[in-house]
Amino acid sequence: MASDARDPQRYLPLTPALFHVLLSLADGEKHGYAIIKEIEERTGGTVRLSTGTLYGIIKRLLQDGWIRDSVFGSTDRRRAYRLTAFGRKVAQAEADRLRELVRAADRTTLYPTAAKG
Amino acid sequence: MADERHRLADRVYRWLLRLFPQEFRGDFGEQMTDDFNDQRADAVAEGGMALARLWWRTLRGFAWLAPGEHLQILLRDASYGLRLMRRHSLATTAAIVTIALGIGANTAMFTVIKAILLDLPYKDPERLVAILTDSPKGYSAAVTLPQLDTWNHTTALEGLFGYWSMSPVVTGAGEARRVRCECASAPIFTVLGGAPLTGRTFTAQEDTEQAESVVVLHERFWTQVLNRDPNAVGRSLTLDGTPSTVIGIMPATFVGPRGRDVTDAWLPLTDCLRRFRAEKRTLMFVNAYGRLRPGESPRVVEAQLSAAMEAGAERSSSARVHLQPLTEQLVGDIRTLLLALFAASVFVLLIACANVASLLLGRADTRRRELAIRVAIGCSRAGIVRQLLTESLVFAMLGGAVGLLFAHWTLQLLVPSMPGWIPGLNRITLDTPVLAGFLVISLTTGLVFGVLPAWSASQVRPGTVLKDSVLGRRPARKRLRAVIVIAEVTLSVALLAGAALLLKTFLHLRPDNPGFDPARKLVMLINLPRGRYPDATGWRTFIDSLRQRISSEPAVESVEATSIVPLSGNINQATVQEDAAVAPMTVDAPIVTPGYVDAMRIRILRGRALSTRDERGAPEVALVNETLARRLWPTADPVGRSLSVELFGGTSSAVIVGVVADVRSSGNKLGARPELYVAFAQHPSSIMRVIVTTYEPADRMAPILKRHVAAIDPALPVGDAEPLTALVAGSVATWRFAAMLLGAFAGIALILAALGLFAVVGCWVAERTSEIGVRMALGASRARVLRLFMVSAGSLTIVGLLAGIALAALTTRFLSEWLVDTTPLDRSAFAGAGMVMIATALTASYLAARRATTIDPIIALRSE
Repeated sequence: MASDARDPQRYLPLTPALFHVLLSLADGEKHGYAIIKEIEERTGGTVRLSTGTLYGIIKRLLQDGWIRDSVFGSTDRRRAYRLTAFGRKVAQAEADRLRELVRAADRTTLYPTAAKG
Repeated sequence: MADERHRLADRVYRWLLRLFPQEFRGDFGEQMTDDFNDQRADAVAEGGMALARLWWRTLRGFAWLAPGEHLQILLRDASYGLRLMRRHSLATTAAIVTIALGIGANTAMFTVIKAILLDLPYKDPERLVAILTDSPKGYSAAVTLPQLDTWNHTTALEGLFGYWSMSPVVTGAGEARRVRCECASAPIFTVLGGAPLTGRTFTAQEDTEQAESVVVLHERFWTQVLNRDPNAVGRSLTLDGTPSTVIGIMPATFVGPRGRDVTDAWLPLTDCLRRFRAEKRTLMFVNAYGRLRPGESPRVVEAQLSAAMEAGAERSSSARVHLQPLTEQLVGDIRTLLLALFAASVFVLLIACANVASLLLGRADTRRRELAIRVAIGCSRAGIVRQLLTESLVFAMLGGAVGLLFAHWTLQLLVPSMPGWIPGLNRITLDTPVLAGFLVISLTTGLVFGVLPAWSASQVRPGTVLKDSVLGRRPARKRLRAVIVIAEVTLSVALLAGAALLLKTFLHLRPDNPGFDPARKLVMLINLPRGRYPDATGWRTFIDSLRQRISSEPAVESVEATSIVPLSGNINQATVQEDAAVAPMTVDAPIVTPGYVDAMRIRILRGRALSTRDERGAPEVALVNETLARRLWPTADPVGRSLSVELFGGTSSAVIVGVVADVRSSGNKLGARPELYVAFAQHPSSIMRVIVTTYEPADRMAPILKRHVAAIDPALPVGDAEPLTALVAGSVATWRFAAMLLGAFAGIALILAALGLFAVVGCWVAERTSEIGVRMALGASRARVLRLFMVSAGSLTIVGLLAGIALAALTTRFLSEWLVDTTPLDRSAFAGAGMVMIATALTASYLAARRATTIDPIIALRSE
């Protein structure tokens, strides 16, 4: 898995919801409800995924091999998911891309200078 | 309480999950439900609108996601299907062509039916009626002007108009030409529902004796003659020598009450009658049409109009009003025929479906292993049905796409061969509603032929199948395929029987023998305008000198003239009465020159023909045809008897000098009508048809004839002379069209049924290869092996044949209106159909069964 030859750049940009899901799995495996909860808290309640949206994303991530079922975290009813190495790479690439974008914005006079700092 | 609500929400959520494909539900359903319940608990704790927001979010998420999930599966199944098709390209091509034939035939017929029966070019056509009078003599579309006036004074109808047609000569716009005019009272435009392109239509004021003459032009005339002159409205055109002012132009979409789009202009009815010099207004007959008020019953209106007529001063004998729906008048005749042909095309489609179903069944058999493995590793039966149905829908859509091409070609062949009298031929196009209908037809087709194989395949039991395949056993789905073949034979026999009936009628109508000899004859219409030819002397002089001039041509054998050309549809009628005690009788009255009967080779059965001695001033004479003779004097000899004849308003007495054989008329089923031939010299007419017998072809002779007319009167417009044979061919066009089309459908059906039988017998042979090997090793002869299969195939055919004859007996009655001198249950037609089916079936099964006789026992047994 670690030697996944695919180029993460190919999948960028990610949709915000999908990126949030990847982020919430970055620091460990979680099950569905936990993912929703984590995203909600992180965004101060502005992003609330519905179950339909979440599992649509999960299905796609599983198919593409960005996440997988966790052997340890799952119970009978609830399955937990964890990032694969490639999933992590894609999330990193997206984060890099966003960072670049923000830097680019900072280099312009998008914000009046007085307000800076 | 909270518990209850929790359970309810849980149930609702699970129910909503059904929006997703089963696969998705199986993977994630439980987790989603649990997660949702947690979310719900949070929302309840949060309070306020949180719960509502959660439901809203959830529903929106489902609405976004569920269709996409379904689509993904559909695409996956479809692409799998396409891959399979590519692998079996021969079978695939056969199936696609089969479906295309069925769908093409159906789409073409649907297009025709929609254009002719459904798309009448009027606003709310179901409220339009033709106003007829009903008397002991039967329905009559001829209405007198006083009757029309009487009805105009009632409010029984939303609107009504009198209608007549004439072909005046237009001068003052390019060369002189005859134009087809519809003459109508002012409400025609509002009743039929049409607004002018520019200008206006005429008013009731302009439809009176005192009004200035006005004319409304058709867009075609405006385009072709006036080059779309923007100043056309207001200019003057001379019609038959009288100037008329153009007041408006109607769009090409506006069609008069006759349904056929051939009109050049509209004139107010009163103006037309004035032009026709109808001094005796009470003697003029017109047609009347009206529009019912919304929701009004025709019976009520009939009663009101009848009452008005009875109360009127001009009360006519015992006539009552009868309203005939205009749609009935326009397409009533052709409707049953078109619907029967549509039904035939549905039969063809069903046979095509049966063939493809049979093919798919065969394929499903070879795929049993694949399907069994799918089931074994957890694919649901519903999933298999869906997979196979998707495949058959892909088949149907591919076949449909090719079928659409077929339909396009078919229409291009079909429309020109359709009889010209059918209104709306020019509206036949593959338009959007037709394409929608086509889509429905295609998808239904896919379901029809896909459902049986899919269901049957979903019944696989993995254990049995996998065991079978190890043991080399093949499944037997013989019964289902046999039933399909029987159904195909059944439908084919019904189609063949219908085609045979129409063919028999067509042959019976004998286009080559209509009672006269149309060979080498050209017809040219001479219509002398009343302005310059006011009386009989002028008409006689003109016709006589024209005949003299033309007969001097070396290639011309004879030149005669008649007012009625058989089968042409033109009429002039007389009323005859033997004595005052008997009710008068209306008959066709051809006004002919002396040599006409002879030139047309109409047989003289008794007495003599007309002669040159029967001239003006000589005792008046007439000929009767067989039908009239039978009606008037069933037992006695008509020759020497005299009749009182009322023709063109004048009454005289004529002596019958001969009886001639019947000729076909253009009436119902081309039967003969009672006819009284009178002498042109004694009853001249301004409208005559000159019949020239010549060895020259029409295109060579027509200009010569025109030159002779121009030499006598350069200002008289005449059309091209047309061969009489074309007229005769045209008279049977409807039957030829129907017989051809139904014959083509029956032919396709026969081929498909034969293919079906061939495939099934071939399948039997393949299944029993080893058994046959054993039999032959034990000494069975080839003939015996052949018989084995022929008997089975024959019994399928016989069962299908019997069912087909029963089906035909039930369905051919829908053709009865179009059968002449034969009945829907005609034995010879049925026998012919049966024979063709049997011969075809035997050939197909023989060709397939022959393979069995070539089996080499050694090889067959070794392969075991």
